[in-house]
Amino acid sequence: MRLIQRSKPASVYYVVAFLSSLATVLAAVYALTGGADAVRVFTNINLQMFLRVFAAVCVMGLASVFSYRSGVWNIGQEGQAVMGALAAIAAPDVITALALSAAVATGWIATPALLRVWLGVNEAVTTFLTFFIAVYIARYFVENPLRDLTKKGFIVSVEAPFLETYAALAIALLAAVGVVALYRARVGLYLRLLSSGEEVVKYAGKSPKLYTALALLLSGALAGVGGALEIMTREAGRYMTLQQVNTGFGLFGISASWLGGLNPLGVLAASLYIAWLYEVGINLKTVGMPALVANALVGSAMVWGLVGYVLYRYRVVWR
Amino acid sequence: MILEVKNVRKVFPGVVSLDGVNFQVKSGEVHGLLGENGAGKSTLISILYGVYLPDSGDVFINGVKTEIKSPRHANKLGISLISQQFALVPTLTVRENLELAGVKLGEVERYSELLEIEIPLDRAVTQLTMGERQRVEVLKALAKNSEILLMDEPTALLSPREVDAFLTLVRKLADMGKAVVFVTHKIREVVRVADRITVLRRGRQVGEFRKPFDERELLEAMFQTAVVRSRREKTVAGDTVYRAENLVGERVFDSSVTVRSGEVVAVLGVAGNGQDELMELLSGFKRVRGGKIYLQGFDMSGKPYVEFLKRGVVYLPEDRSRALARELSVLDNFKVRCTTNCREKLREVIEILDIDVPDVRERAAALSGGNQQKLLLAREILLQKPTVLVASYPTRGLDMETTEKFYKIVRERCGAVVLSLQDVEEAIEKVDKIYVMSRGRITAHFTPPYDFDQVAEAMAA
Amino acid sequence: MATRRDWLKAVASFITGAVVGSGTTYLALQSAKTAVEKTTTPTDAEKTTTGLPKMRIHFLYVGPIGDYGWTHAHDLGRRYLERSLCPDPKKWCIVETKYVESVPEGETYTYVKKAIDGGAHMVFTTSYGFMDGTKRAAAEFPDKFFAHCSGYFKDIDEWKRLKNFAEYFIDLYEAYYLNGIVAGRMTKTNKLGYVAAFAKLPEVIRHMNAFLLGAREVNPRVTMDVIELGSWYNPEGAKKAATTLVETNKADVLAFTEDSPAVLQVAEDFQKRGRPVWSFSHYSDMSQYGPMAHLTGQIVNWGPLYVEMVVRAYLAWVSGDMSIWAEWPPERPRDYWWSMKQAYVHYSHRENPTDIVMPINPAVPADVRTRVEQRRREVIEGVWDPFTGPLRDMKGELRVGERLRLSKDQLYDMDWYVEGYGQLP
Repeated sequence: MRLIQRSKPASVYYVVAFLSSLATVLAAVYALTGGADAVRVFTNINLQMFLRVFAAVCVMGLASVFSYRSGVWNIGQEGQAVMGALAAIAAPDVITALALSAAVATGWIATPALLRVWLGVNEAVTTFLTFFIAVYIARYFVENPLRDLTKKGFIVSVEAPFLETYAALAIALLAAVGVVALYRARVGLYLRLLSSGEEVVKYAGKSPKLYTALALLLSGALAGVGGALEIMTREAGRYMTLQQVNTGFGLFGISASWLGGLNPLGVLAASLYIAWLYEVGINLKTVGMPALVANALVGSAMVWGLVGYVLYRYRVVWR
Repeated sequence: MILEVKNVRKVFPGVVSLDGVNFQVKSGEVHGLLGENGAGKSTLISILYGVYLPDSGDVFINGVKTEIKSPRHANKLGISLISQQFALVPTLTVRENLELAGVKLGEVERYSELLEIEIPLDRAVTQLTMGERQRVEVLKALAKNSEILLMDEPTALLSPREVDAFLTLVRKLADMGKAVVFVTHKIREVVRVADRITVLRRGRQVGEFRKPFDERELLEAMFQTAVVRSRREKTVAGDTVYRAENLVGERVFDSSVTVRSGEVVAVLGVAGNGQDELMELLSGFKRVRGGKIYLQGFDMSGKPYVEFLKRGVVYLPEDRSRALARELSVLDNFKVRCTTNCREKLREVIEILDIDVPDVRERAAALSGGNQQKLLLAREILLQKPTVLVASYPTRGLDMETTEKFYKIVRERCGAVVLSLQDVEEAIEKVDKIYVMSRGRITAHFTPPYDFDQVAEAMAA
Repeated sequence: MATRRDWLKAVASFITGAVVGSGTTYLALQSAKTAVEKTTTPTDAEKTTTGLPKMRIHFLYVGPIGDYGWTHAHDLGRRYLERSLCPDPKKWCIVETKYVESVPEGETYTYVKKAIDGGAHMVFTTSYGFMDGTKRAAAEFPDKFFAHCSGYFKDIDEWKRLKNFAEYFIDLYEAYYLNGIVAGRMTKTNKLGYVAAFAKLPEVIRHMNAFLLGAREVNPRVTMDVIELGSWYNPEGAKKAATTLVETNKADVLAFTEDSPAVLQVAEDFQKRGRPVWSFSHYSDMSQYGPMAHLTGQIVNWGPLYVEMVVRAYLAWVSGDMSIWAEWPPERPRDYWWSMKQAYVHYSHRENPTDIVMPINPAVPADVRTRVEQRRREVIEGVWDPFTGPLRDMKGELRVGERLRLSKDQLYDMDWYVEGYGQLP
């Protein structure tokens, strides 16, 4: 088997990937539950939750797009989201929370970004590893400065300000529009040039280091906002506990970005799908399936997203 | 042994690369495959070597219909490819490379005696000249008992003296009873070595020629109507626009280049002698380690590339992917230098250079190599008026017509031009001054009238 | 051989397959769409042949069930509940249970709502992070019953408002105290080691303090070093921590609050190499992981507590008299805080499911066992408590006065460390 690059990418494979993913999910759920329960699993949608997951995944997905479209590998969205959520907890109101989360997460990814541009340290490794540091830092904050002392024996952070789901949706859509607009602008052109190699950017007369850093910083900032959105839209329990600092939405974001073809509008569509899958996952758990099965479903979407990306660019030849 | 293809057709999306081509090679002969870049030579070789399967048409070996499934399969059938990309590990010695390829050293030694060629078994591949590496590849193929040797532009990287020796070697191979397919776009070489010649043009077979060959006939076949090559006109050189003194880089030492207004200057040399880096240094794309650069009197030494760009220095790298973003659209690529009315301007230059662009929103990678080169030229030279153009092998991959156009446009639009070239003939015909580069140093320079042999000699030294 | 065309064909057929597949699913969804049944009152609920309505009970777990640990213990409790109150599904059965694993704490409310939508009459949530979401759902569904593990009521108003909501917990500090007595007599190096999931959590502080108090009661020269893991379940980390405690800190009795038998296994490995290092069971019977090193330990059995709570809720549900549920247990209504005292019937956990203390290793000298048994009886009878004054903290400040004991709230909020710690994180 060999992969041969297509001279013209075939977008149809994203549709194939999506349908295949859907087919996988349908088949798996049917096989696991049997007909009657399956109906409930697919249709029992909690709108509030669906929309809030959609908004968070969408913003995380856009964050991933920023990095992958420029050919840099931020895989630490989870860590940036933790920092963003932490900032949201520390903030007194929604506006401050959003601004602070973007700022803190940008600061958080600055280390991997600077290491990358100054010392050439692989950003995939550093962003991934800084996630673990983020978890420990968040735990420190939960235990000490941000601990909610009224919660008696609990070690729980104070609560983040509440954000209405529709506001989160608006922010997600705004972010999508913003990304599209940015990519149309000059800055966006250079960011996209980066995916063809640093030399191309240099050739265009710009600093590849600057744009590499910019791609990472933008990615981190959005991931931070995504983390803040996630924690602020919760209906109850807008706090962090020691054992659950991170939520896994960063990974969903990565899935959404690949399934959405690294295209901001594609990410919107993919996020809808992933939000639905998330609901399906919860429903599966409620009918007694092990938690792993539910996670595997969302994971399968990511695999199909990558398959779509590969088939979009390459032709498979069996020889 | 006879290898034959009948009526093959191979279509790549949007391009018919080969259509209705018949080709045959048998033991004991050298069959030349002649054509311009993009004529379909490489595609045909790829089919013979099992890289591509033909869309239609058949392959026969000794009259038996065969499907060559993969290069590995081709090797089993006794077909080897000697390409410009050597399949040798540079850091290992020749002996280690041969062992790695699984050939018997005894066989290699037998053939090297038979052909009277020497190869240094214990030297690392990096220390070998291109010609020596090629010989290793040939011996490797022979030791694998290959009956058919496919050679894709085998002389491209060789110095004129090495070319000579190599052509002799190819003749010997045929006399030994091997079948050789010799792919080239250089008429002079193929005429010297081939028993018969097939000419391809735009994916179609123009004809098969037998001895004695008529060079003019072949040229006409290659280009349909013979292109009249323009000779360099006497130019009135102005003041010195650009002066580089004692430049030092990683592989470039102590090199000085002077260009006067209106001049086209070539740096000639066998590949891998530091010309690429010299061009990077001259254009400011890479910072110099030592030496001075003066542009219109300003000291540019050590300035960043952006400063060079601002002063109108344009650099054309040999590898287009360093200048064009393959994954971005043609329009986006154009916008890298264009800020206003880009669509209209793009349409104009597409017309002027006759670039084949079905849709400006198409990815640059979807264009053929030649068209990508044209797009780059359009963006860098037509969109702006360069004060100095620094270009690395700018005409490689262009057909003769576009090459002509290139020199015309360059002379019209650029204040001064420095090129690196490989083809001595082209240099002699087109440029006002020739520098010869060897092992990172400028070793000689020539002004008209040129003596071909002198220049070739300087390159080989 | 597969040509390009064949490949396209394969893809096309796959697309068709996917489309047809999803299409059929859609049709199936349409045709099979039946109203999700919602049972709100006992009269509508499904009944057994004897006419008893069945109460549907949902459990939300914070982690996967696995083979041991916190969630596993709760699931054993759930199964005990089902065995007790549904011995014969056809005839004698008043409960039906379901569970959801690995519920994210931030989404408790949604999960609880989904459980109610799925027909649950009562919901147990078994992690402290679930508290707010559960309380919120309790306020929204006053006719359903909710119980949350290891939380508290913010104030008396909240307690009054949420009549359908209870808190519950089973604490093990008394058992740790008994372990400590054994540890204090078994140590040769006078150094104990403690591997703590979170060393600043009141629950863990209670465990550590009680353990140390027990040890120092019989051997005042004993000190204890603590290593923190930062996670409830981290076998690798626990293994490393235990090894460090033994090799660097020279500890030879190891206690732990972590969800795996890793520490016990480390002790067993040392025993096998001829070095006497001891440890305990925690949360479930782990003796099989370290038959030589296992001194004693505590297990938790939520089953009887679940039965008690469900029976109260059931009675309230069928009778419509909320007070049956809302005013129980009498000493602290709707705030169940069980400990060893509830285990007084038999002193063997095999015979008595409410017992929480494991049998003691025969290697322990007889006088130590006698001492442990005596203290145990005293605790159960209420004449002794591990945290009986005078007790001083690490700085020497008097925390519990002479002959005084700590209240439930003081125990619950414990944030100070008794004397005798060596290294603390």
